[in-house]
Amino acid sequence: MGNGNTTYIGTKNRPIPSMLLAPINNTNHVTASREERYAEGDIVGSETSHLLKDVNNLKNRPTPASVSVDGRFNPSDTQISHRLFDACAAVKILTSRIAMHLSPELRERLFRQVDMLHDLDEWQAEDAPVNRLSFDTFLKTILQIEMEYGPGLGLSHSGNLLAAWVDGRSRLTMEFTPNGRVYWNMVRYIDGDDELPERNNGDVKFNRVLGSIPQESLNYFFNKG
Amino acid sequence: MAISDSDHVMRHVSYNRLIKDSEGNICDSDGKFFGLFPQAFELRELAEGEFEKGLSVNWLEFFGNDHQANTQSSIDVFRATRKINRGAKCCFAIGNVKKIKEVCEEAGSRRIKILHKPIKDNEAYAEIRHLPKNDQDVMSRLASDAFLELIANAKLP
Repeated sequence: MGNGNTTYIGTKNRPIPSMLLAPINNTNHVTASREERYAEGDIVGSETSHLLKDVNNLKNRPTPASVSVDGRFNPSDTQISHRLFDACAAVKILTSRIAMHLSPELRERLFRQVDMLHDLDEWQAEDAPVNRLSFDTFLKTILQIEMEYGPGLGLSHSGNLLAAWVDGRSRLTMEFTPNGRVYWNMVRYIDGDDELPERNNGDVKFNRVLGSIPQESLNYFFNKG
Repeated sequence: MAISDSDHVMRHVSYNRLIKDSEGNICDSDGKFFGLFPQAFELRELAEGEFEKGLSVNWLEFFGNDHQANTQSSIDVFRATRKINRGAKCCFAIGNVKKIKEVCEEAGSRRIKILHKPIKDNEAYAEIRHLPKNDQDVMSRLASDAFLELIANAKLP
């Protein structure tokens, strides 16, 4: 599972960046004014600002008809590829707001996985793309966790981001909801794969995830070398 | 019609509900799947507060051949009805009916039934009914203990 290189995502008890705690709109589209603020370097550095300009230039502006009131995906929309692209761009821009807290390697892994989750060739028409508020809950959660490796990502039917840490048949999975809740589920085979596993699950606010999972299991899944 | 305890059902699991490593791989170096997210067994919300009545599966023994042939027939039906490309990175998970009932009982859910409900394009269609609505423990047990045979779509003809 490990290669000896340690990449820390976050540090325990590190304050969560205020920009992540600020309320954001529940929409998969970034407003023009916010983009302009990014582009002007108001929020991020000049290099990131240039990257965001490039991303913005690739995007098709959403038409008024394609934007739902609550930001949820409309499966009947025929422009699925545009929707998927918009959803990916929105969460990448969100991530760029806290880029200074993530290693470039981890950010690259997250972005690559987000792209894979929205691959048009794999897409199920009835699924929703990643919900931006769910991704926000994910970022707030992982910034508190000291871990060697980033998680593997998934997506629920409704667009909630899923994350998993695995070792053999043992796994810790989490679902990040738009309202800041995290459903976590752990199956851990302590005495070998033939024995009954230990099971735990929880439904907690994002800042209670670490407090609700047994410390020994946190060490096992997050710092396994 | 209730399906016999000795029979098997198959569920299509999309790429997004497959557990991956930090690189996004769905299998380890030995080609073994990392597994399924519990959310692979989530009842979808069709409208505000209204959920699917049951989990969609195919009844394998309906096809009347040996396990391998039944598996291929079921996958062919899934591919046709859900427009799944042969190279898609989804998988098909198979579980024994008795085992599915047992793991649900272990999580305190004793009422579940697995019913054959043929539909126009899929005569093998069945549903797992009376599951508690998106119970994390039940979904986790179905993922890790009941649907144990995982078949990669891309590896089949």
